[in-house]
Amino acid sequence: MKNNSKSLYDRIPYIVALTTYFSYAMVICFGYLKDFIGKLFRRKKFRVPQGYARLLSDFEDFYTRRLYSRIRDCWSRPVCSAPGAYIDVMLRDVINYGEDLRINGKTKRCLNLGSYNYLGYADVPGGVDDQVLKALDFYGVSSCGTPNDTGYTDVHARLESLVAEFLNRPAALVMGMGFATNSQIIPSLVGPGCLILSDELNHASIVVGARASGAKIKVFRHNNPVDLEKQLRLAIAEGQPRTHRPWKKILIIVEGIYSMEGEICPLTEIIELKKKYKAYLFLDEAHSIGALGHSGRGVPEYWNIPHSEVDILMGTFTKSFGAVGGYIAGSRELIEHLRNSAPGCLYSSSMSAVCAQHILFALEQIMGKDKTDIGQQKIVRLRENAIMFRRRLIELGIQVYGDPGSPVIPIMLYPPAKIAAFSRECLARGLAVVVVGFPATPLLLSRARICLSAAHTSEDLEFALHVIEEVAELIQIKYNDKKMIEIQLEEEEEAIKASEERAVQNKITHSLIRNHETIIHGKKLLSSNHFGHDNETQDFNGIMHSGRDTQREERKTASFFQRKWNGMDIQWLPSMSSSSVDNNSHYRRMDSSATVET
Amino acid sequence: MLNMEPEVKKLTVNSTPSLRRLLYDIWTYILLYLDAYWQQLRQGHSDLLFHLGVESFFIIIILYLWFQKSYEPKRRRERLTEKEIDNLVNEWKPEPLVPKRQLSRRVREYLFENDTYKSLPSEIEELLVAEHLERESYLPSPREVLRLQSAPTAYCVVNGKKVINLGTCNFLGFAEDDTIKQACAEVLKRYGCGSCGPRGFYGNLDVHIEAEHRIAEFMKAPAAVLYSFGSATCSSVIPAFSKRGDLIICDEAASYFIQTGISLSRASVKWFPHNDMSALEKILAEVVTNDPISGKITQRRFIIVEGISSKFADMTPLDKVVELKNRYRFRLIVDESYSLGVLGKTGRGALEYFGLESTDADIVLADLGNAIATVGGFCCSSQEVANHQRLSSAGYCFSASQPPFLAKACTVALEKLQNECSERLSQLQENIECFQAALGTLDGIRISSHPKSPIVFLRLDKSLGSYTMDEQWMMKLQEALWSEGVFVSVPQYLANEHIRPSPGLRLCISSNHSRKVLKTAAEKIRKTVAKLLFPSKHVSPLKIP
Repeated sequence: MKNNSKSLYDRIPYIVALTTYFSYAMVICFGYLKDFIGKLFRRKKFRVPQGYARLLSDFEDFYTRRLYSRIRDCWSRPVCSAPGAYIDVMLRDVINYGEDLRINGKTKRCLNLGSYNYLGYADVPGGVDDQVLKALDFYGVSSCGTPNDTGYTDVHARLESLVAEFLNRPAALVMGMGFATNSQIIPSLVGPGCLILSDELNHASIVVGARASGAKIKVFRHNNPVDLEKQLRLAIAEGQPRTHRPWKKILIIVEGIYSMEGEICPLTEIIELKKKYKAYLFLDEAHSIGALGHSGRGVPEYWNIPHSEVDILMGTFTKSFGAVGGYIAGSRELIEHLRNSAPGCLYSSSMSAVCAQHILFALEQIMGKDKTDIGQQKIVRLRENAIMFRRRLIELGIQVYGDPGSPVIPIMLYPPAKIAAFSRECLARGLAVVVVGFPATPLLLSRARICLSAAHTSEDLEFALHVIEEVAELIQIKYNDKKMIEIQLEEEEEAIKASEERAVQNKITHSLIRNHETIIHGKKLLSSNHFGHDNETQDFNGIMHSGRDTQREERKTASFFQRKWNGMDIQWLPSMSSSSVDNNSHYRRMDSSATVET
Repeated sequence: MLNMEPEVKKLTVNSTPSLRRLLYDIWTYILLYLDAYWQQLRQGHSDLLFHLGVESFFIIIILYLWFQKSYEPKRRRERLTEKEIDNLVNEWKPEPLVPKRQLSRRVREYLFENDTYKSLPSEIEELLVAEHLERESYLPSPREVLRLQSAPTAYCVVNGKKVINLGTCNFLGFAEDDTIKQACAEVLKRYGCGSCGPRGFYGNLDVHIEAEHRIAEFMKAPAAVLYSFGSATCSSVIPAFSKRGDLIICDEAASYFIQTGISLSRASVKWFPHNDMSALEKILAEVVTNDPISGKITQRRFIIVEGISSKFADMTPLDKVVELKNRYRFRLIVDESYSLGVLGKTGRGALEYFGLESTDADIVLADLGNAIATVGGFCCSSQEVANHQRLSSAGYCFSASQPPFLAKACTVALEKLQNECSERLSQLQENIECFQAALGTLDGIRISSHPKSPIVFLRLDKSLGSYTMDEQWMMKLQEALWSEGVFVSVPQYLANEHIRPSPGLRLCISSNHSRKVLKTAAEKIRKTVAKLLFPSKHVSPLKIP
């Protein structure tokens, strides 16, 4: 396993590091000078009401006023179109050196390399289905209730079962906001006396959730299984701090693709560790679901690992699916527990049924349930775009991080002045990119982030590369020399080859599973509405549930089957498909024996 | 040598030993000796020089030993060997990820009906659960028993049955409003469903800016910040402004997310009994007593209250709170989630109801998921506070922005509220009055609500024994009411809430309900409650499927 976090600092040329520090020092010095003068002459602005403490603590406020405000026009650019392949950015006038920004009424059409529109479901037209508008008409804007109580509609139920099917897990639940899925679910998984081992670059929502849970949090080095193992051993050996009692549970939290680095987590190693040390694994697939794996099923598919190996699968619908919200998939007991104990399920409002319908539409396309290969094409397109774009950037001599195949590609900029320069120059040439600096990244490692989409055509990407080359030349960010470029290209090739091999393997096992499913469907052992809902998504008016008892019967068989299904080993699949009829009877026998036993 | 005598006498006279005394004595002796040597040297006794040398040598040695570190054997940390750690790892048994399951709904129901619930020892309970779980591998959670199959209108379809809707917080009927739907459909066609990015990174659509302007205008506040989820609003805003060392005074019955926000902020917190103003004043006065006279304070202090309490549906006397806040110089955060669009002349909430402006509180928060009938939340404040949130509020910075059509729904709903506030609000207030009158009082049931609040809680006067049993009873009531044709909600509360209210039935009244409907609903509730509470009085006890 390559150690990325170390190399992130290794690759900065010394002179660049020095100038970066120097420029921050300069800006800070001038900031303090300005503050000093301001306090002398413009007291009104700095005054605090008598008897109250300052509302904003000093350094944060200082950072905003003196550093951020100089380049604040690079962020929060207003947009007046759908976040598709192209967006209309509304231009703003900078007033008084960044004190204020005013929209001046002009717009500029830009190629969008900033939105998380990985599979292009945010594009209009094409993104929004008629069904979505029908759902709006039928279910209203919002259901004005909580998911656990009165706000749970049929669409939610359908979506949950489809997500569970997509990830090949027995159950799933959906929530109205991706951030809240993490921050309001983690507290009901762990509590005081438990340990959370969290990757150091985990998203803020995970940090908030972990802190709200009351569990002890330890951080391991980014994407570093060696450090994780060290921490695990130490934690189990030493137990809880002070009392030295053994930990109740240990939860490892990692992300699929790290949004600021574009790196894919080494799931194989982490799962080995998780099993060896009896910890639980929480995998946040916010960026990787839909974008990784040959059928868009995320990191587990990318590494060719069954989804059942991960205890808690979390993901969001904001990115690949072009909607909003998040999901948790896992065992039935887990989902049941979360539904009755997670603050997000008990107190938050449920997802708008309209969004749920949109996700259903996208998910059905990705899974090929609409009998077309549009979804599959999108996934392939995204992967091709990502690999091509990365390679071309490396060839240009630009420093790029992350793994090939990830749709997120960071371009390293380093000095703070280049953040603004890169963003402004790109915008002027018709390219909307995201730039990130301190505090979202370490002080030294400012970067621009490219998010590719299946909606980008090769001409679009050629145009983007052309612009980036021009700008890179202008602001001098081609930090790599020829030798470095060659090394990186070689690494790239190797990684792509390995991932393709894995994909081929995965396809074989998957086709076996799918064969199997059709056989079982044919025998009607696993009925189409095995999650207790109607499969006919078209019909909003006519959905009346059959009697509750029959529903439960179906559930019973389905859940039993699901349990077997998830626990089974991939290795004995071939033998199953060869004698399918026997297998069915095998299932039947097992099912009946199970009921007899109890 | 003569001048030695008085000093020696002094020593003998004063005999109380103390460290200072001892040091003083030693110092005196040293001085005396030096003095003696000096005088003898002056007189020509050169051999004394040798004595002096030896004695100073000894003194140096004494001092050296004195100041040298005392002997301490090196503390060696006994490191565990790899093998020992392996053994520990093998020994360690983690708790299961999902805690031991509670009695499932159906088991509880069964036991409840057979009246064996109270006297069941815990081991048998466990056995029963285990057995039951094996037999029925999946039990539907209560939430899945009642499933909404239409818009949350006055009449809605639940589990295939058309029922009166008292379950959803659609107070003003905006969820099914046609103009709002139309506006949303247009936005959906133009902007797509999601915004695909946080506000900072090209997720900042003109629709969001418009919604923020509209909210600020409606609330008559200098600025407003839009959040994409109601419950993430207060748990992000509170930690954005209060840090470790700050002080928060909070109502005990504040909602769970306010509690989360407080615990995330790491500020110290003091709770005052629900709506108890004298207790609040006492706490404030106590805090202020230690302040410096100069008035320079570095601790940020907040009072957090809700307009209409989400747990008890009563109203906080905000006029009194604002007065106290100004007197003791605290900052005020008001959560108007349930009062927005309900109270006040123009529907601005509890602050307006008490004749106050939004600017009287420093921060006003609200969930847009209730009366405004969309998904999201907002925070109204001064421009400075709003700007700070845009950089340091976690729920704003790190989350994708609200879907544009939901922001549009908010804009249009607030516009509608501004234009037709008198009709809708008066209709709602009339409905509330009518319903509460029709409901009257119930035997064995405590009704907690403010006469102007659109939510009403029914709670058991006397607990049946435990929280679970009460909850069980409430769920039974919910199901019975459903079969009677009334849809109500039974909010669940987590065990780690600061104050966990007893389980209750929540009834939500909307302006879309007709009086007749509300009267029948109230009548049905009265009947069903009586039937369930006093089954012996009725000939045929209710059968629950």
